[in-house]
Amino acid sequence: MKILLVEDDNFLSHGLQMALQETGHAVELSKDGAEADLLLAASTYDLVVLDLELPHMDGLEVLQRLRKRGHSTPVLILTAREGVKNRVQGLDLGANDYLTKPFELAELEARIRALLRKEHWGNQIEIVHGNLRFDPGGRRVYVDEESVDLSVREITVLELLLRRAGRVVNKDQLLDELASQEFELTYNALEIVMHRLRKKLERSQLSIRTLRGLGYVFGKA
Amino acid sequence: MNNRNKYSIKTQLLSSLLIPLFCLSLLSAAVIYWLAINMSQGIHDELLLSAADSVLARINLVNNKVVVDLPEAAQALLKHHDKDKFYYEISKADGTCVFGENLFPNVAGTPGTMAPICRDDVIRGERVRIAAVDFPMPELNGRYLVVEVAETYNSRNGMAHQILLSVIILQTLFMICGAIAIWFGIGRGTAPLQAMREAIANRNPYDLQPLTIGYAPEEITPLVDAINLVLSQLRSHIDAQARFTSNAAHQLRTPLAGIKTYVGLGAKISKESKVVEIFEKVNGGIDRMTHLVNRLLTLARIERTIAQPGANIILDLNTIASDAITELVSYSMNREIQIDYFPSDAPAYISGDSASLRDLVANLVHNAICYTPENGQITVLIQNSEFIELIVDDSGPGIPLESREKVFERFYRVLGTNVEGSGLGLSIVREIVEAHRGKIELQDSPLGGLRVLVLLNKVYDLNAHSHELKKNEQNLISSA
Repeated sequence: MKILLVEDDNFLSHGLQMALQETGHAVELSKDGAEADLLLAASTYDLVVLDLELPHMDGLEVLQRLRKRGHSTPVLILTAREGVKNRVQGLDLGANDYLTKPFELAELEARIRALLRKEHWGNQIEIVHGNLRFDPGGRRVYVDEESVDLSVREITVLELLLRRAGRVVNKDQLLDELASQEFELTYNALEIVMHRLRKKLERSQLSIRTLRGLGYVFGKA
Repeated sequence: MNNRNKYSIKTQLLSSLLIPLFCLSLLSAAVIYWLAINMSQGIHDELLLSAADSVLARINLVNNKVVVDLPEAAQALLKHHDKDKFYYEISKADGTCVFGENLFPNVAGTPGTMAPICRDDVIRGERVRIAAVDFPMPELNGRYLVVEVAETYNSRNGMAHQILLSVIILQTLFMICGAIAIWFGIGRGTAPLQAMREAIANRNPYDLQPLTIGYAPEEITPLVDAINLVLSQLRSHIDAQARFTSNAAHQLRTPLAGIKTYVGLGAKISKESKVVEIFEKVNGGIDRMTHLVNRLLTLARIERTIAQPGANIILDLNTIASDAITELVSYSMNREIQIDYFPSDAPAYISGDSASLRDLVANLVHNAICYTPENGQITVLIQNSEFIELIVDDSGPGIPLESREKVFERFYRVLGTNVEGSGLGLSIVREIVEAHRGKIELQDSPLGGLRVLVLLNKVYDLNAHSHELKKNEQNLISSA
């Protein structure tokens, strides 16, 4: 894959270039915001890894101009500034993901993989967790390759949890997303769905945990 | 501040006013006494002279001998007072006694002056006042006769004592009233100083806001202004320092990210398991440095919260806590620790810095996860009562009573704990709490471990902050 890496720190950018090349990507390096903007306008990349504090043009502006030109190239932001406000601003301007420095190389690689996968196959890729397999095309769930009989509502809830496996999914968030997919559920109805899902997935190596006051987590049992 | 009594404006004013007042009062007492004694002496002398005149009026000449017809009743009338003895005598100009007991000492040259005079003398060993009147006696060849009357000093002394007593009583009353008036006057005059001292003493050490003294008199205003100037300079210094720390910490992150990248790459491509192990150790070291850098950032934020409390916004602690805990869930699940979170029913509005408060909750929960053994339990509770209470309970080993104060010190670690950490966690937590003028306490948890109780000031008057709240809600909505 062709990746544009925009980072003005020589030490970090060379390390990242080496690491991404090692993974098999073609990496082009730019140390200047304005230059990156020109490169993005001139050629197409599969992914952009973008630092925010850049000479000549701020990373957020590079991103904004890219999106204004109608490009949907996935953008992963790297920044030394933390905080919800910065993250929100970046994501609002059309960034696809956000990493705060310093980060684990493995984490960066995983996020890049996820972004490239989404970009190429959309949401059509299978999700596998242990002995559980989810086929988004056929909307079927398999445990040990045996199909599990789930209602449409249960599948929708499970898919939302699977896509955020290991992370906490807030109840309100879950209900909002279900509502946007034409499933108006109450708190109680959601609890019943969770109860049924747990029973039906008993044989899988994964489970849905309730974190009181916080939401649900789909993860290792 | 220790030798606060060494020099007091109040004592100084009091002594410098009371001493002259006392002297003045003594002087005025002396003058009044002297005047009063003189006046009473004058009146008494007048009376004594008129007594002498009365004696004179009773003089008869019988066979060329002077006879005074003065009955006992008349004598009694001539005395001013029963306590006094009364004497009279008539003598010739040369002092020869012609009537009486010849008790009066002779005074040469007394008669012939035609002027009544008064003088002091001694009769029968007692001090007396004598009034002498002379008159011509044609029957005795035009010679003069002198009538002298005398009375002892008893009634005069009695009156003098009375006058003295009244003066003393009056002056004492005057002194007492004066001292009281001065005391209260000074008290009122120095009240703004007192108010200022209390305002400074009762301050939270993290409060660097300007002093406001109601009705500061013009003598105090420059002092208040000077203190406020120092405070504002302090604020801008802290702010500049915090800005520097914050920038430095942010600058450190990029090289740290670089090192991590090279280390990660090295570990990935190396085929030597020992080299991989070394890279992993290095990575652990970088993580610790990252941790410290993040702590520095938190400290810088706390300092900026102190330096610019105006930058604080109204927040719902429930939202902050839920965000902070959610980020730590994967860590707690790795350690098989159950976290339960109970937000308050009503929004828990407080005024503060959102990033610092998030650090506060994250630090407490992170600590709880670190020190709680696997399969443990953590409960986070937010209660909306008189204060906004944040309670973090864990089922860990707890902290013995004697170490509870020490764990708030920077770099202190409870002995025997083998948990990785910089030892900055709880000290930072306390600084965040104090920067928000709250309180923190360590207690025994009903879960068997430690309970951390944080009390934060509640925002009651939401209307006064509605603008900030609106602004902040927008932030929260966009971040959701």
